Amino acid sequence: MKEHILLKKAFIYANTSKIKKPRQCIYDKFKGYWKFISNGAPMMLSEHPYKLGTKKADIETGEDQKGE
Amino acid sequence: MIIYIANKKYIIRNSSLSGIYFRAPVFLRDYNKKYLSLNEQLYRSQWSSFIRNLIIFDKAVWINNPVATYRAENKLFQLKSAKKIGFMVPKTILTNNEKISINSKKLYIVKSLDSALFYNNLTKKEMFTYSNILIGNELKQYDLSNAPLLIQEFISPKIDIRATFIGGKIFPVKILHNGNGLHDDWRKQKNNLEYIPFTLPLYIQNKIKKLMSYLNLNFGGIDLILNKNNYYFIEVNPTGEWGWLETTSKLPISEAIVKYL
Repeated sequence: MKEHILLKKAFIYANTSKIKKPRQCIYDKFKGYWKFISNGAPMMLSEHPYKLGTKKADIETGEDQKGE
Repeated sequence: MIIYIANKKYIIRNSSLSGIYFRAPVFLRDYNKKYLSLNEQLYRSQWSSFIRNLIIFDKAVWINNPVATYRAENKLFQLKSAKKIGFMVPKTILTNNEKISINSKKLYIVKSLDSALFYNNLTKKEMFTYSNILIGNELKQYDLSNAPLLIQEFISPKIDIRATFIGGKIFPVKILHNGNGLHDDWRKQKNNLEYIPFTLPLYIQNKIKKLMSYLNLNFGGIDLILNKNNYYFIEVNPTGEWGWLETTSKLPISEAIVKYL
């Protein structure tokens, strides 16, 4: 069987990127955000916050894995 | 509903729950998956169903309601709905037969019906199929019988637009490369593009609001094409990505989501 065009034309990712955990931070599950271990300040309000990223760190993989 | 997080008790009532952010809808039904243990299969299927059953909270604002999401994610349904609302849409064929009647010398857009995300067990690599521009003659060389796909008219020249819709507010950006529209699928080089906020004509804003109301969606990443002063609806993603967009365009998308919930 010839290869289907959707497989032939697929972009191959070199490596699967992983979302990195913010350094020196801990996730406050009660407040729902990352904070610095040293002083409890919200990481996102710091001078060098992690970039906003959505559920797959904005890697274009088709938005959702619907159905399995 | 009573939730315990560590030793803290939270009581959630339909009458007082204001918003639900359904951020990562994945429909996990892992029947007969040999690579998953019994406990993993049980965990994934039942907790996934629990999340879907949260639709009992029908007084809260959903971003987005699961039922609406799963309906709206169907591309043919989106195109039909958009056309019904009054949007221009590309001529579209759904087929699994490469022998269909198309012009061998004309360019077409070929895209998957559903997200074409794959994992190659042999190479251990992830793969994703973007929209591709093909000449009709090339398409006819393939065997499409294994899976259907969409063939659409190729609209060019174009400027791609991503309009992020949140609870009635619209945040549109033009997607450019060195000040110009892109020939191909802009997502292939997402990190090297300019995302320029602008204002859509009022009649297009109204069509977007009408469409989102029809689809029962409070959030969506809407893709449009501007070609010779004509706006074409391409698709809406009920769970569209937006983190990169806020970082590049400075649009207050996260603030709008928080305020809406």
